[in-house]
Amino acid sequence: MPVSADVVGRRWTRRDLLRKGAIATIATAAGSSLMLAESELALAQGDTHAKYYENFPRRQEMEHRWAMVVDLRRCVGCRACTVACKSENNVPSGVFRTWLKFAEVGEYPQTRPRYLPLFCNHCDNPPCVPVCPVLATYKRDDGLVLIDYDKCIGCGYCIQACPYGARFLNPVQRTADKCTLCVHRLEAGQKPACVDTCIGGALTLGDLNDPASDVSQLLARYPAQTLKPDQGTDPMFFYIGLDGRLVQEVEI
Amino acid sequence: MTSLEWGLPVVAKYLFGGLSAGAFVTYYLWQGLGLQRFRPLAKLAWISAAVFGLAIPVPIFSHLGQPGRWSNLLTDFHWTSPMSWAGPILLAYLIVVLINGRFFFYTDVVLAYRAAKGLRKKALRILLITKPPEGPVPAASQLGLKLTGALGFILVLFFGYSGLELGIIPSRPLWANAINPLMFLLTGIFSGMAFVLLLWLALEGRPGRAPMPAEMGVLRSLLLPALLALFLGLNAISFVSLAYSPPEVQPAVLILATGELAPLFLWVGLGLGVLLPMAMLSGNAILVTPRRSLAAIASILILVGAFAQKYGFLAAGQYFEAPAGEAYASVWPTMAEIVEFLAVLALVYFLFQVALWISPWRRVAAPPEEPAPAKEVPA
Repeated sequence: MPVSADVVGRRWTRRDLLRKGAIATIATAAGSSLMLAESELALAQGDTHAKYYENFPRRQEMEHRWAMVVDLRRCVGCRACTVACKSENNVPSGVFRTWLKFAEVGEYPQTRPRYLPLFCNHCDNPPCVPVCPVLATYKRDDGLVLIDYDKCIGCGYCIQACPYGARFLNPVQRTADKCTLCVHRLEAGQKPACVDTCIGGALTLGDLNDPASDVSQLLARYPAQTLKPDQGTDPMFFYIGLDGRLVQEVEI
Repeated sequence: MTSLEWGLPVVAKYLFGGLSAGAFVTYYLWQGLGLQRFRPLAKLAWISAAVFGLAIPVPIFSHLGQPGRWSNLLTDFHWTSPMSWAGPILLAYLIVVLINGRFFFYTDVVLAYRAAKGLRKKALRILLITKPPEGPVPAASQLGLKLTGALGFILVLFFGYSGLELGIIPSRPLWANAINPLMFLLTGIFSGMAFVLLLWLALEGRPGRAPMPAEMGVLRSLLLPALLALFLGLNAISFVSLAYSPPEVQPAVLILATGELAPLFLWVGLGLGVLLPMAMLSGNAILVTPRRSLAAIASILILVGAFAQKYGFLAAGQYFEAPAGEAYASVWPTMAEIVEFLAVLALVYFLFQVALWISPWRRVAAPPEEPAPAKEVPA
């Protein structure tokens, strides 16, 4: 039987086009509705804070996921963290790995002092890493963003890229520098110097992958914010009690 | 924190890169694209491209914290970083330009070598690379000339990476601009063209005499004013879009528009450096007798303007975001930076003197041939 011209090389008629188009539209609409319903259901389940941190990017791939919770309700602005960091890491004078911003917020006479300790945020999506021209800045599997000081050429590109101003050119070693979360102490099973020395207990470091860790507990219990969320960097430093007026005052 | 993280050395890097790229484009207008009008500029344009190209690494080294590790830029290539592209692009560009010069200047260098004496002869021998031919000078490979020229021109287009370097940083809202690469390429091209024009007028222009037809062609060209107009248009688009940007961008825009950097960026950079020379060069195109002085002043203004635009843009972009909670003391360079910048300029001036001394940028007359011995005619 000869192969019909209807089967091989047949052009679509208007009827074919309408029929197949309708099937495709219905299938797409059905699929999208199912996906939407699933995500709505997922959002409706459980604590939304906990859900958010549970689904944090790359969480599943890592054994540890270091994160810091800064409870601003406990910060007294003593700058012990700044001093401890300088002392521990031998940071040269004039530059800081950890620093503190201060502002009086509110209308006189109802003003209140507010403090904001600042660090490298060890972002999940760090803008400093892709711009480094020599692969000196990198992100470890446990979430720490570090610098290979033997490789860094001191071009300052990462300093420009960091939206938090957390990096600086170390005037002694002539390379980029920043908070390492005291990686040498972490690897020895100790806490970073700033956490250890904080007199108000405002700084808590822990593993986000461990639901029993202090940071997981704090983040499940209290709403927390990150700095400059609009930059899409997914910082690993979470602030509890962050006053929007303070952020505005100190221009972070 | 006293001075800006990226200050004068970075401006010098962008400036020299742009000048080299612009000079090479000027050269290629005749050599590659066949625009006869630009023929008189071709040799000086190539020399300028090579000298500025060789000078680019100088401010880069002075800017790097660890200049000794510069080779990491080549060995640890990071494709997501436009700065990482600089290494291979600049290296390839320099190699291609120098090879292209070998083809372009071959006949002139051979003739100059034959006529030269002493140190210049040795220098020209090195430039020749291969053994100088005896007798009639063979023509250089046209294929090689065209290929390397085209490749150099393509690499010049990649010089927009410098604008991309700034354009991909979202934390610097003034810089994070999609048209930055095009703007940097444009400033580079027109400043390079202006430099070549100025150099040509300084070396070849004969004050007091009416311009020759070849000179008239260059002086009446509308290419440079057209590029300046395009740049002004892009600036206007950028300025308007920034004016409607989020509040955090406003301080950086205001510092350029009405603040401390406005006199430098707006008035010197765009007013004196683009608008005025555009009018002057356009005027030259319609004058019965175009004026060399007008073209020379316009070129100087363009060069000063290119510097002012680059410095203003770079300084304003980073002024409000100093590292580690500090504040920059000033948007202006420190005395040490100024001295360093002047030293780099002096080095470039010296390189130009050497290049112009060695290279046969003026047509070399062939040495007179000895008269042929009279043939004996048999009686």
